[in-house]
Amino acid sequence: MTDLSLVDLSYALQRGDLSAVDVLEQCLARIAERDGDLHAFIDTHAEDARAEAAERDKARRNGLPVGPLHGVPVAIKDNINVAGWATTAHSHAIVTERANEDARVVANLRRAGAVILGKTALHEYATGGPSFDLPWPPARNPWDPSRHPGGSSSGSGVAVAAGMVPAALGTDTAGSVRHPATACGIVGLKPGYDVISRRGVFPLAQTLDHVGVLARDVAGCALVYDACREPGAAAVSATLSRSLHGLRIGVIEGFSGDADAEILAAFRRQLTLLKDMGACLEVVDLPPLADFADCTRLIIEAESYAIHRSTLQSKPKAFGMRTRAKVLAGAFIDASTYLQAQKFRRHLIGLMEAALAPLDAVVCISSHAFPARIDDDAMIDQTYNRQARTVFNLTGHPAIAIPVGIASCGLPLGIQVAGHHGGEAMICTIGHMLQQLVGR
Amino acid sequence: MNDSVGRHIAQRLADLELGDATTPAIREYLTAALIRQRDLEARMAHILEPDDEPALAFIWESER
Repeated sequence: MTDLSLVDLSYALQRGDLSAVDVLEQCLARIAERDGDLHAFIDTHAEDARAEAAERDKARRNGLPVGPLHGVPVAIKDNINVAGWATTAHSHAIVTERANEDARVVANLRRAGAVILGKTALHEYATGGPSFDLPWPPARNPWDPSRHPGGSSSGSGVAVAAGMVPAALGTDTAGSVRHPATACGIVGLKPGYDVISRRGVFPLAQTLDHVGVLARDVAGCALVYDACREPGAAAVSATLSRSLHGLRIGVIEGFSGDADAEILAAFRRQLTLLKDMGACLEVVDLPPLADFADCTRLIIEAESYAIHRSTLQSKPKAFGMRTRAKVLAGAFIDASTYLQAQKFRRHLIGLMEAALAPLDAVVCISSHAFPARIDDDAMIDQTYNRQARTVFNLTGHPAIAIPVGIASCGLPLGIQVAGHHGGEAMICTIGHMLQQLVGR
Repeated sequence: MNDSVGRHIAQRLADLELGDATTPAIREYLTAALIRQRDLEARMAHILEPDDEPALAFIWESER
């Protein structure tokens, strides 16, 4: 199973060449083998998943209609509700002991036939960072378990990269799907704002929160993305293979900052590949990355403080130290500053829209640095400042992180493709075509 | 500047009954965060025209 692409796996399950129960058991065996060291899962809810897989097999045997994800296991970040399961947000201050209903996106996945396999680790409340003062240990990078796997959707990234599950859901408020994707060498798609429902997803900052998908390749990611959307939405996964000839793709060199030389070289290699495929590259000028990043951070601080203030007052020690620090920063932002930041945000969105207007998509770097050691708080904090992902949370445009090879240090390399609102098909196509050349 | 920021942080946390939530390391983080917030406020004031639109325009527009 772990050798099959997600698309091939889904075909095999739909045809009955593989059973959902067998696929699930292979995932559970892989989890048993690797998760003792990697800590991707908070709880696999294995028995519930087994029952759901058996139902999927029975439905196919009985000739009932099968969806595009029939029998495909999908893991869920533990700030997203699954009916009957706790939503912990990886915190002592858990959200709920038992969710009454599935988040809308989980319900959509089940409608497409997915088997929901467990809840994955995250940074506490999708903020904080890898912490050792929480009820569960932080997830670790499968390429080097001494290193951070990116976050906050850490467990989702690790579970996919380590072959424990073909796909996982994450949330992305400031890059939290694309960061683990880049750090773990997989694909992470953050669609446009509110393209995937946030109902039943515990918020970090409502005006920036997105639900996203992690998978090993773009085609698989697109298949799951299609299933996450409301019925009737146009399928992205059906249109991935097409010529890039004549596409106008903007290159945001200014977001490369002080990127590691090898990361920069990998980015430039992708530009050459895009040109070789016939795309027309154009330089895009935008304000400094710091303007986007600082504006995003201030809005997160203000909105997350509004959510957690009463719990911070009543039981502050229910939160880990990192989360407390990050959320408390919002206590010092007054309403006029918050509104000014939203106005600044609109100014930056306008500049991004103007830059995108003549283009089909833009490309830029994802991380400026390789994942830090997981116990090095200072370096981890630095890597959060050395990236170009939060830009697209602030503007709400869709963005995808794709792996583009392995560096000499043995860690993955990645880039981002971003596009217009409604441009998920375009960015997935560009990512898919690059992946065909680079390899998975 | 750090001293005045530190005093402001202590007073604000006390006013909000959040003093118990902090440690020296958290107060150090908050000092850096507050300096960063003030720096952004200054940059925003420099970049944004003061009277080009009401500050709440984005909310009114989003509710149309």
